[in-house]
Amino acid sequence: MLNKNKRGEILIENLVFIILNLVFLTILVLFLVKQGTGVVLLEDGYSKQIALLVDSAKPGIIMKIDLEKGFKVAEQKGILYEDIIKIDKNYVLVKLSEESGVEYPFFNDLKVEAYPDKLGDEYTGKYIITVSRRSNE
Amino acid sequence: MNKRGGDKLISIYWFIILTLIAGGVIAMVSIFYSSPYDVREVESEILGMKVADCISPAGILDTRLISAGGWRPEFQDNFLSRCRLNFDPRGEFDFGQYYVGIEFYSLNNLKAPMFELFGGNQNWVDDCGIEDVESKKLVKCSEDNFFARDNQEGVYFVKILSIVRNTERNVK
Repeated sequence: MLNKNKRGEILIENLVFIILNLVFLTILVLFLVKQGTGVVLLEDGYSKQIALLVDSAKPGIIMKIDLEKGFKVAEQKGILYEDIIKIDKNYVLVKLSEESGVEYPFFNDLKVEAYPDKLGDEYTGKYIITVSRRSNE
Repeated sequence: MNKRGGDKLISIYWFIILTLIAGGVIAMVSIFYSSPYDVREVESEILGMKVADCISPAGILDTRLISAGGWRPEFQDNFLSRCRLNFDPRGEFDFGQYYVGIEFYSLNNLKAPMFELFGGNQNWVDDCGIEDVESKKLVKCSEDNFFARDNQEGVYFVKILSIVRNTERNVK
């Protein structure tokens, strides 16, 4: 009878130990995943990628950029899709939350416009960037 | 009884070790992800290619730059706008974040350039040669060399040095 109780106690202790280990590792994995898809990281990556694409673009080019991750984050943070990417003079500004936003300059002196891609009334998760000559040229 | 006490002690040590490892992983990941992407090297390469394409589209030097074998210094006046480059769009920096310098050499003399063009901030040129631990906080430079000909069969060696600073946006 005593032996039976002892075995039960050991089993519960081991179970608690394993559960705590799993909780610990889950928290660690969640932290790593969250870091990898962080708002600032996405904004930094998007702004630089777009600026480099614009720098290497020639007039007349239309680019479609996949921003699906960014769209999801923006939706969670209450940012309109139209406001994710703004082109101000020669700067690309990417904003995925109210508190953040990253801008990066490009040196290609062309007219650049950005707007979210739509299929009917549905957003496709992509952004369209058009590069053209300035009207005074 | 002793064995059970020993088991509990091992569990505590196990958690201490786990905490140390997790702390290390968290610290490393935080440091890694808190540093911005450094794209200046690619940026300077794109700048060099863009300038090369501007002065020598399809390998033939622009006739506004050289015609009838004679260099035209007035190309320098609007060099940046001719090449559709804007190095300081908001005018927020007293000193621009970019520089591009081009040297044209005759094939007979590759030591002294026969003609030069430049645009942007010349202060960054000296920073290109510096190589130490802190050099990543200075500038990124890239050099492009190629041969080009004018519209009269003259062939020249062209050297383009392109420099990008933008340190605050690329290095923490």
